[in-house]
Amino acid sequence: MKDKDDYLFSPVSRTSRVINRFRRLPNRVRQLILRRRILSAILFVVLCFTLVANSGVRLLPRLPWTSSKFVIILAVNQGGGVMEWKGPTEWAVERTSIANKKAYADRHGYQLAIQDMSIKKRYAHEWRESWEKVDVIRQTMKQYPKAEWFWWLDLHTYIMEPSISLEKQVFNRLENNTYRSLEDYNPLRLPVEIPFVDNTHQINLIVPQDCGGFNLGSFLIRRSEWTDFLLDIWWDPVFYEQRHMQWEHKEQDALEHMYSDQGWLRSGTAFIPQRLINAFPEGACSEQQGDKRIFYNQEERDFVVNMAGCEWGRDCYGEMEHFRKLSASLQKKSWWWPFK
Amino acid sequence: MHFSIPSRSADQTTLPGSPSFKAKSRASSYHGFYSLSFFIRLRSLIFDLVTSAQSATAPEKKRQSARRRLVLLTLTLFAAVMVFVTIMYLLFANITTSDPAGHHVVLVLGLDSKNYKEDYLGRIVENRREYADAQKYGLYVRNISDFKDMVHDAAKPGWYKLPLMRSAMRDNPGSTYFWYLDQNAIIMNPNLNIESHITETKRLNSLALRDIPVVPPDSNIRTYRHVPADRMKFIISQDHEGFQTGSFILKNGEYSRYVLDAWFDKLYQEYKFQKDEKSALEHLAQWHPTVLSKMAVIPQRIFNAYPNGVGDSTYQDGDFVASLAGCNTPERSCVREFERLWDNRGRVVN
Repeated sequence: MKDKDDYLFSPVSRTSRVINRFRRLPNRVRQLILRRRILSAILFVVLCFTLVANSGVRLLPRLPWTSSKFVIILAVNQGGGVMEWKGPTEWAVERTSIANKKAYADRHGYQLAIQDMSIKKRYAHEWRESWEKVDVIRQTMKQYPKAEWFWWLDLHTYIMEPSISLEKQVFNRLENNTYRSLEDYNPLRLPVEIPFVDNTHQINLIVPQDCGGFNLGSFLIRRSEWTDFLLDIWWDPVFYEQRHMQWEHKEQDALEHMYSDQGWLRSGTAFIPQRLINAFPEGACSEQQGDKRIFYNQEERDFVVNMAGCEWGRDCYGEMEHFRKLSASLQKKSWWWPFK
Repeated sequence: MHFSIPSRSADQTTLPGSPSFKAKSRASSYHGFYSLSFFIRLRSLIFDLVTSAQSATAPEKKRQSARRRLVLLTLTLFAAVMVFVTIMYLLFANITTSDPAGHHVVLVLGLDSKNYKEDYLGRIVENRREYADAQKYGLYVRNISDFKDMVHDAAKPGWYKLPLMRSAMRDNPGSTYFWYLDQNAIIMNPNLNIESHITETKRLNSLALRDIPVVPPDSNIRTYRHVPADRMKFIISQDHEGFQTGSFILKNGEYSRYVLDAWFDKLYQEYKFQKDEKSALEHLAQWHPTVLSKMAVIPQRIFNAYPNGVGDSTYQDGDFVASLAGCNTPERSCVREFERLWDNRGRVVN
């Protein structure tokens, strides 16, 4: 029975009763919180966490002496303006791509290695033309001695969902996210079984397959003895001499050849469905329109888009701007988002 | 501490609606974050906790001791279960993950039943069997025709040894060393143990030829000078022409699988190398430091001496192996040479 003195207005009229109920609300809320102190403390912490954690603000400051297990290798300056002129759109595309990867790396505490891929004299024809990827990976592994996984990204890629970490996207369920057998998806029609393959071997190379074979625009490679062997044997003068005229995609074709012939290499390689780290825009792989395994799917919020081959016949700047704006609009959150 | 509870009714001057009432109620409502009654309740709770042991009444004591006994029982049970689980794990986890024990060294032999007579091949196997039994090594014998479809050109017999070694390694996962010895060779001294004769670290360190050209007489690439012997996984010898692949030792592991598979690549087989797999190995060693850095080149007489040779590689009495390479020509006779050496071989000393 409430004391009459509790009321600010004597509860004669209905208005004053309603108003008194509202004035007493803070008291009631306070009483509720006091009664369930532990529960409300937990709820408060959870609320703060959900509001803060996914807004991009770092919860814990990154200590300067800890280095990440993951390094993103971003290949920029392809060609270096030697064979064709680098105009304002090319520069804009490069800026956008670099900013996107930098923001992603900062957000998740990864390291970003921006590597210059300009044409060097030592890669002139008949001498390792276009095998720079292998040398760059080797060099980056030396520069980041503590990192374990290296994610190679071509310039014409965009990370559409920066809130997803690599652990969440790939590594937490590595065995489930990757497949080793070519039975289901074999666009190159490589031999499905070759002798001396060990399927329990540690996965050291994660490669997506697109409509035309392995795609080295976005792939992951682990530091290991196996990787040292791969990076050494990848380019060989005998292989190059016999096949470089047929191998349009250079190190990609070399890798496909070695994969189909050498059992030790197959043991350490796993494939990842393309849309997990290397979705294509509509223009790439245009013969396979509508193939759900290849193209970027906005509803399912695919992770990374690789605008492969946009420099031949398509508009790199237009595509990059389109995906940048799309990503920004997808990341905008409504106020009820934490409670979704 | 003792709180006195002021009663509202004592203060007659405050009436509902007056400003002082509003101020007072606000003050009492926002007294810190907690009201006075909260502190009173807290105090009595603390009192109860502190004095519970002494002031508990008899039925309460019985209840408490019963509860304490129950808690103790639960904890003991839990601890016992944890200990049991740990013991089970320690005992049985090893069984599932231990490798099958194998011979420390496995001799690998490939028989060419198409070009050689059965009884000759039988003598060869007898020679290997005698050695393997004396030293308690394993013996892995296959027909090289098993690997016919893996090899690109069946007319080049040198390539068969690579898939043969690879399948020997796959079929003997517990073994450490694999010694490939050509069919046309004879183990003359079965008392020599592979570890003490070749692979033991100090011995290998003394045997390994450092800074010699990979392709004699004067290739630019030379063997490494400072790689320690315990890192060597591929032991091979060289004659005056180049690598002699009739006798080599590989240590089981990632490196050996890599070297064998890369060496056996289709493009190497198709390429017109002058000496087939020997030239392919020389090419690999010169172009790929990951291959050369773990190779040890040892003197030929250690495990591949030539009875008809000249210079350092000539076979002498007491040597380990005599090679009959090239005996399948009209001028020579493998069977005759084998029998002559067989009669002169060292006998097993027990």
